[in-house]
Amino acid sequence: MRPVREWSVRSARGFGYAVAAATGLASIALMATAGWLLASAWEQPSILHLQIAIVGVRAFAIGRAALRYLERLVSHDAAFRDLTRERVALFDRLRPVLPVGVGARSSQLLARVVADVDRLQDRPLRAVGPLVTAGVCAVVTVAVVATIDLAAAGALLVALVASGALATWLAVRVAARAEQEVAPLAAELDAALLEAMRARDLLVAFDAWEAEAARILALERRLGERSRRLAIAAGAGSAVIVAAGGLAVVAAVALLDGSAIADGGWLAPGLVALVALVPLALFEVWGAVPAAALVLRESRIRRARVDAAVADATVPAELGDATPPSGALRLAGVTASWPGAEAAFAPVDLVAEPGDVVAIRGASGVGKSTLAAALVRFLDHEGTATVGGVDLRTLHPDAVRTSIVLVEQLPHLLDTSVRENLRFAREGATDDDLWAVLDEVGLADWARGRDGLDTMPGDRAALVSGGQAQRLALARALLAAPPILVLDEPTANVDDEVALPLVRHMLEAARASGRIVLVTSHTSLPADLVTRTVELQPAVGA
Amino acid sequence: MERTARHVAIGAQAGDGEHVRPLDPRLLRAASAARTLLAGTGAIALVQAVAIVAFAWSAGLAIAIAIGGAEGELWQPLAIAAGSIVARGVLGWLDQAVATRGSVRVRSQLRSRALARIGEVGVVDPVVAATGLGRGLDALDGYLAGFVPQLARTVVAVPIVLVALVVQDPFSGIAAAACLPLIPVFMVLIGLATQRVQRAQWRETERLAAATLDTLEGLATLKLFRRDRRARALVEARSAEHGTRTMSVLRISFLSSLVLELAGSIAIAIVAVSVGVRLLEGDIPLAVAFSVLILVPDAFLPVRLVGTAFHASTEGVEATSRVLDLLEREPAEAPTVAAARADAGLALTGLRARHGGGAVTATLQRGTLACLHGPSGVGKSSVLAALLGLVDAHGAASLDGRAVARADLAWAPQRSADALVSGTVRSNVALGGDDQRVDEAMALAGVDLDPDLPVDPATGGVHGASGGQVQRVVLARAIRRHLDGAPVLLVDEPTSALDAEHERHVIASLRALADAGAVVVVASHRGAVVAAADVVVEPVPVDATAEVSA
Repeated sequence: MRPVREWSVRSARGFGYAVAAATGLASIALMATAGWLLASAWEQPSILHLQIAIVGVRAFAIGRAALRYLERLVSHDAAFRDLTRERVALFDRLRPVLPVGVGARSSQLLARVVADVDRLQDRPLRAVGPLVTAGVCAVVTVAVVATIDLAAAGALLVALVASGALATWLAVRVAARAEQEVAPLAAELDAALLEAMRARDLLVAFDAWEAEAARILALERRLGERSRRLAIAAGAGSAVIVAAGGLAVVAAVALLDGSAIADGGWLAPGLVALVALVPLALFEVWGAVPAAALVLRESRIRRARVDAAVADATVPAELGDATPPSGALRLAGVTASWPGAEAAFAPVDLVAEPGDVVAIRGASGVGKSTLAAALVRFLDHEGTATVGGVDLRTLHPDAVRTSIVLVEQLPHLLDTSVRENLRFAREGATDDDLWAVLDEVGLADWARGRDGLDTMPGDRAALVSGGQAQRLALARALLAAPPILVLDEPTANVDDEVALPLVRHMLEAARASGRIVLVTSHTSLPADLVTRTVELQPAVGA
Repeated sequence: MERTARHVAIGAQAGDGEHVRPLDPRLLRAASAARTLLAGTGAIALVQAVAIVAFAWSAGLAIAIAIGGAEGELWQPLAIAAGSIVARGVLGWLDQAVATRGSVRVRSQLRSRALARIGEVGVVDPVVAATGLGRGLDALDGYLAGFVPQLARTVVAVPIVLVALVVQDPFSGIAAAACLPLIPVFMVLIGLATQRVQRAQWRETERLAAATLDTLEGLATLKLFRRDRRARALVEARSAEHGTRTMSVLRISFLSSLVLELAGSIAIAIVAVSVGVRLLEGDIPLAVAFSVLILVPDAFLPVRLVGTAFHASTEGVEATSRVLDLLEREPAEAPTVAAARADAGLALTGLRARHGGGAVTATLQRGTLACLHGPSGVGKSSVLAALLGLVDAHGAASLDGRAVARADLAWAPQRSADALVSGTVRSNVALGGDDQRVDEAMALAGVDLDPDLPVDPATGGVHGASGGQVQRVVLARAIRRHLDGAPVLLVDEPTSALDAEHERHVIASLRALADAGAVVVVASHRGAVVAAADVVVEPVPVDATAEVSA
């Protein structure tokens, strides 16, 4: 690690701003010194008289370039580290509420939020940095000019403030409406593209691709119109500043006409030239103001959007006893529903002793998966659920999840190897352990035929057909070896030939180890292994 | 790194050795708006250069007059200076407007062509393709509205400024002209060093974006295993790694702008000092000295800006070159037409996906309910994809003795969660058709959902609906297309998530549709489907060596 990593992001960023300001000042000083040098030389003094100016010109010339390089390195380094901080902060906000929280489960929204967070770095790099530089340069330059000629300083100040205000106002005013519309529209386009790409085969097979493409292009045209308005605003802003810079020169010359000693006035010609020429360099720096103001706005909007997307959701608090419970599972009048949906099923009662295998039946959609989510405390439930007499609500959700492991109906496989996809269920599991569970779920041959434990399931599990994904998820749960296992449709995509032996095997193993198994399944379960059956009913009036 | 990341690129066959050229001729060919843009900005740059020279000359003269170092009326050069600087501003504004307008048009043209092309050739990785066409092409603005006009300004304005310098003060002109060639030399050297890294970095960024999303999407699963907090470290480590990698690229990239800055600064210093010394001797008029000082930065500013603009545009250039690569890709190879009688129904001869999987040979007359059977991985879905033209096909197929058209096929894909589009249950069933037979199709598939329920594919489908319900919606869509006239119904694992009762209902419906004259092909491993089928077809694994001799 380089030492610079150990700086706080704040101080690195502050240092970046300081170097940026110094770069701007060097640039202005170069022009000022050069102007002074020419006018003084014209008076034909001894060359010794000019030595300092000559050295100054060279020093500022090289310093300007070197400082700029340093500034870029420092500010970008700070930005990248800040980006990491922002990403982690986003993660911290999403982690407690997923999968229930907000629409944030929606990958469209997630993608947008991730993109917005990535762009937050524009603020220090492209807004605050240039604004600080412009501000410092303006103040210093006006102050220096004021010591030479107050009227010229006044004119310069007026040109700065007027052009900065007008350019920013122009840019922001025209952008205000367009910009608020552009960012969501661009996100909408991204989301539409993502969905279209994912559903491409489907849309093509149903002759719906052209319509979808046309819809996207209509969206893109609207985006284009708005982007155009936005860019015209930025162009107008810089035009105003370029013109103001030149007019400041004109004004300075007009004001100082006749004030040079040579012309019968009181100022050294070098100072007259300095005052006349510095606006050119200053306004080059000042030109960044409107664009920076726009970026500042944009960042504010992004920040607000990130905040809005990750609104709080009512989920079980991460508080409570951390001791994983074990023992009998008792449900008394338990019901649950996803936020925004009505109660899914009528309150259910259940007692399961270690070794019990409970079949949870019910029509499709009645809420079997909702009950499963509530048992692992993704959702709050009504009624009372206890394990070994301990109310689940008094426990830390992690303690509950140590005792109760759920195999989801649509398990997510991470875009990494089979080994890593399994290993997070049990730290320190050896390859032998992994092969053993793969064997248990009937995946060992499948894995051997590929890259073994290094097999990549592929993006969004596309390379693993539904059956293999389920089995991997099952293997993962077996590896965690919890006292209570909830299987949500464990054999939904598993081959018939394997499904029955697999279920039998699992249920037998569960009973032998004293584990409680709750299983929702549409295939008939071996009657001799199921000790209890619970029928979920729709909520009354639903 | 570059090798392993290649499979995720939309234009996977993009030449690695290819350099990003300042102006890709393919872009000028592919998008007419790009040509207009280039011509427009070039013309504006010409007028702008004249304004720049006029300002330097008049402002220099005015300052000299004000000091007393030149003769003449002050108001005349001041008026010219004011006029020319205002003109310069307005032209810059115009330039920006023209360029951005053009860029937006180019973007639309490229997106439109890419979307049409993707309809023909498909995508390798949906996330990468979407990023490339979305944000990737948005970054094209940085290239077309930033870099290209700046390039035009450089090519047009720099020579004009140099000529003006030489005319006013040959030494200054030559000094500036001598510093300028240093720029391309260093730029090329540094550019060569960064080019390859840039390309790798863009892919790295894509990979990181996908990985961050993957972690967030998998958070529920991670929470189940109490690994969610651990994932935090992963996000942090990936992000930090990305920062470190990018910084190592930037340290070199920024060197090129250092060279640009230095060349410009040194030229100003040389000119200022040499002119100063000659003023001491009285060898040069003061007005000329100031004019030259004002003008010299303008010989370097465009070059410096073009460098900055180029760095800001590499993302857009990369995205563009991928889209251009995509436009050159070939569509999936269709099956050849199998020889068969006009009443043969669906005839398949050794049909399989070129990338692998078993081959199917069968003649399925109308009224047939066929089960495509076999263990998972044998290639049941691939055969259907080959028939649908979604992947390169090997073998032949025909319907009633003629080529199979897409309009003949109604398909219910396997992974139901990916087979939904945003809208409602009803709009999903009506996809690519209309509402008329939606209710009928939903009844046949046994869909018991409210047809107006909203659908969001990103959340796994219909809020609160089970996998089985989603599966039946997907089936209903295929049935609707069949009812609307597609004689062949291709159904991939339609009952894998259904309970026995729903499975019976679905099989009965498929049976009834077959009896009414459809060719129904069901890929399934389930006993109930096999039992109901008129014919069971097993994909036959292909011996690769036998195929070469065949």
